[in-house]
Amino acid sequence: MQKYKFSRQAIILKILKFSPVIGAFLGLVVAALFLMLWKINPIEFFTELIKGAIGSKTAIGSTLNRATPYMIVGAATAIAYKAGAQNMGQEGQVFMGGLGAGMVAVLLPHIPSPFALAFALIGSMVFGALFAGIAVLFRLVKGVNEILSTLILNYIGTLIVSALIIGPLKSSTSSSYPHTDSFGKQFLLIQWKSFGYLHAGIFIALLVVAGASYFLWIHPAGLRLRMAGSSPLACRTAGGNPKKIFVRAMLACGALSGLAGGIELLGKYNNLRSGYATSLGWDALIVALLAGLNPNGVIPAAVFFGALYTGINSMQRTLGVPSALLSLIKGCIMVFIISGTALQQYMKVKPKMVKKEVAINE
Amino acid sequence: MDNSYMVEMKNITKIFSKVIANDNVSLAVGKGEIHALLGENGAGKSTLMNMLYGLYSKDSGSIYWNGQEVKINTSAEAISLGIGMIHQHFQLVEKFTVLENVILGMREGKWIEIPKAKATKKIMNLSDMYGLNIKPNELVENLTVGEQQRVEIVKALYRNSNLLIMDEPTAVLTPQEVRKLFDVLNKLRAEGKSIIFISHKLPEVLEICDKISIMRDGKMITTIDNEKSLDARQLASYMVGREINLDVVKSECKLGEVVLKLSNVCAASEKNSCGINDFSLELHRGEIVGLAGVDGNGQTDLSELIMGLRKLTSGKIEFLGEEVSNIGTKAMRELSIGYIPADRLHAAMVLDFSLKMNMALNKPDKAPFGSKWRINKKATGIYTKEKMEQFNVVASSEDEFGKNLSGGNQQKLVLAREVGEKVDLIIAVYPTRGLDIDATHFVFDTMLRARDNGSAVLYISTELEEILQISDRIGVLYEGQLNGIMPGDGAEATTIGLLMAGQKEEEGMHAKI
Repeated sequence: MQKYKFSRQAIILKILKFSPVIGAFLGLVVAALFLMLWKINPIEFFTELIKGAIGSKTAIGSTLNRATPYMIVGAATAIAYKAGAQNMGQEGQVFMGGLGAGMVAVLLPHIPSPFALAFALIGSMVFGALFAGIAVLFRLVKGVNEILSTLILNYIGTLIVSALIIGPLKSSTSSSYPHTDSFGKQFLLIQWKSFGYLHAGIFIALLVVAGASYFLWIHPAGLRLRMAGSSPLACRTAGGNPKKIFVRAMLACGALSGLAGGIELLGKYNNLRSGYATSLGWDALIVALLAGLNPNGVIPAAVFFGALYTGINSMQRTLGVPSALLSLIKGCIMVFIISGTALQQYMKVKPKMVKKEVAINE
Repeated sequence: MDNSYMVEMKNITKIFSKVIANDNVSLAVGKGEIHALLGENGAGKSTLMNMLYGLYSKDSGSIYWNGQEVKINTSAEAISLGIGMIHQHFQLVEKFTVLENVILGMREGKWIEIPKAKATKKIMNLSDMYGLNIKPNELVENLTVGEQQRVEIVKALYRNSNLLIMDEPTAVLTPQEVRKLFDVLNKLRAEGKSIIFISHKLPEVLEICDKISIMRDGKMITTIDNEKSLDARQLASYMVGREINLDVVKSECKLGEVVLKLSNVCAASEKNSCGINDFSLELHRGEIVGLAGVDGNGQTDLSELIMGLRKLTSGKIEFLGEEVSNIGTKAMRELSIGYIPADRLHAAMVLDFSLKMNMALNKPDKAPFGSKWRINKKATGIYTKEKMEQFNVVASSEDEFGKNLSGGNQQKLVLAREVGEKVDLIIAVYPTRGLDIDATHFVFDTMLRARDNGSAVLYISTELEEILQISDRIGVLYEGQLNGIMPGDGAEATTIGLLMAGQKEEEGMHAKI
């Protein structure tokens, strides 16, 4: 059995390794075809898209601002999934994170300057982690699959924030559009007006991504975490504790998602309002998939999605394209990435038959 | 076309994506013949049989059934021709009775009526004819492994099979059950049924088979008549392709201090295991204690219990004089213990990791693999490469993924990790399972070398031959208990076989006379 040849299958499998990139590209192509329904020239569309996303200092600033939470949540999701913790609750955890930061700022307005921001961000992480902790508790006590519990908790999380804003946290000055009292200046992240209000969150995001990458690929505990995700039995045999690792990975993912929510809030707004981060967690989940669940891929994936978002937003003004187009493109890209992954699995089925033969012998 | 053949496979070729699994293979099985198909893992035996049974489609070649060319595309077609296959892992529904299992999937009677009375009668007829001793109304889960195998046989006969393909039929049986099986096979042969007997146990093949076909690397090497002059060594050299020495050379055993002391240890049973019940054993430096037993009698439980993967419910475990009961796997891993778990694919390796990361699995934060804060990939790579050379692990590089290695090379890598450095205690569970002759002997050599260097070795296996060859003392595991222990020299397979079947030691000794 020593004869090898490059089969068509092996070549396709090699190509499929780049399925996220191919998927993103094909998604854009299909979206361009849809554009023709609106009688928009695809070439014009793409030039405008690029111009709107990176054509000016302001555009770049907006793109990076949008990419910031994507990076943080994307890296967090990569950690969770590598540990085998299938957290789908980023959306709710982001919202709860914003709530944590907002509550610190509203309820403790007199914290002095250097600590205020730190406290608010810690608050966001605690809230995010606690919210993810609910799903962990369900899993540990009753064995509820975290995919289901976190999905449902997303609705609860976003609605809790809305309820608090129109209820106990509602500002006395707010009129028809409900929001909390304004935060003190010491709570807000630094912004650069000339750069499209780019805020300092991007640096925190880069730090988080670097930290996640270091942890997963260099730190010994990262190896144990990946072991727990790939083969819980091997992890146990080697002296690790997959359950503990699962809990920690879920909580870390929740905390970092919360942090992203806090940064989004304190970097862009000066009060907590409903819907301030709508769809951010969902988008970040796509970013994580696009990055192949590897923190190293999160930065380009996040910037790509940030640019897409910013570009289409700006086109709403210049070309008059409907904003639903963004969802359409996101959908197209998702379909292609997932098909790529599924195809990869499908193509691997054949070699498995060779393995099966060995298994029968044993 | 010679009509005396039951089945003839001619020039069969099968190519999987990267591998030629069968290269122009021919096989002819006569009527009333037990035909052994010998070969190491990956030689292509199962691929060939799966094509005969309609599970795989052949790329080229032809199959003749009683002289007529046939196309077998599904297993249903194979069954209707009269081919029955008995897999090593039985295809029985445990919650069903024997009768229900036998008629499962057959279309007899009209609509929903199941002709149970008729079926029972037919089963009993077959059972009497071949001495199968079948109890039709018993639930399959209550049967012993040997009885379950006979249900599989009757299932095939019920479907009017004239050719039975048996994949490693003796692998799960005690020596006594093997005798019973051979009686049945002899009766089947006398009735003109043909049997293809897939095995790697040479003495059994020499005993029961009329003809022996040997495959290697996807090719049919030879088909020979089983004559008196044939011996196991000859067959082995055909299988491996060169002269081979089957003997295990063992130096004298020099007993040292007690390394591992188990005092009345117990563990609760889990879903597919029997647990451990009041098990006591002392293991010294410089000895190999072999634990024989039929699979599922507590082999995995015992090893997991020692390694802290299972909770010790009562009793005491001591390592070099210090109590280590329930200190947890992590703490056990800090001790000088090499552990080769039964489930190589899932417990001993992470198949998605590179070989060097697999090497660092237990102690990624210790030298030479790394420190508290980082894994040193370069040093790990160098160390892995060195150990791979020392343990003859064949792989493209240390960056290869675990899943791309053959079973033997995976096991060698696990050995390199667990016993590559000198350890005080080795716990090896089924370390040769699925390995070829060379790799098996490599495992033996490694264990013996460790023993000579002063390690204590607990060698748990279901292969009695191996246990007899390698052990200084032999214990028998039966339903989680130690059912007798004896010196390795002069131990007899029959005695151990009876102990494996659950007889108490005194009765066992009696039966020996």
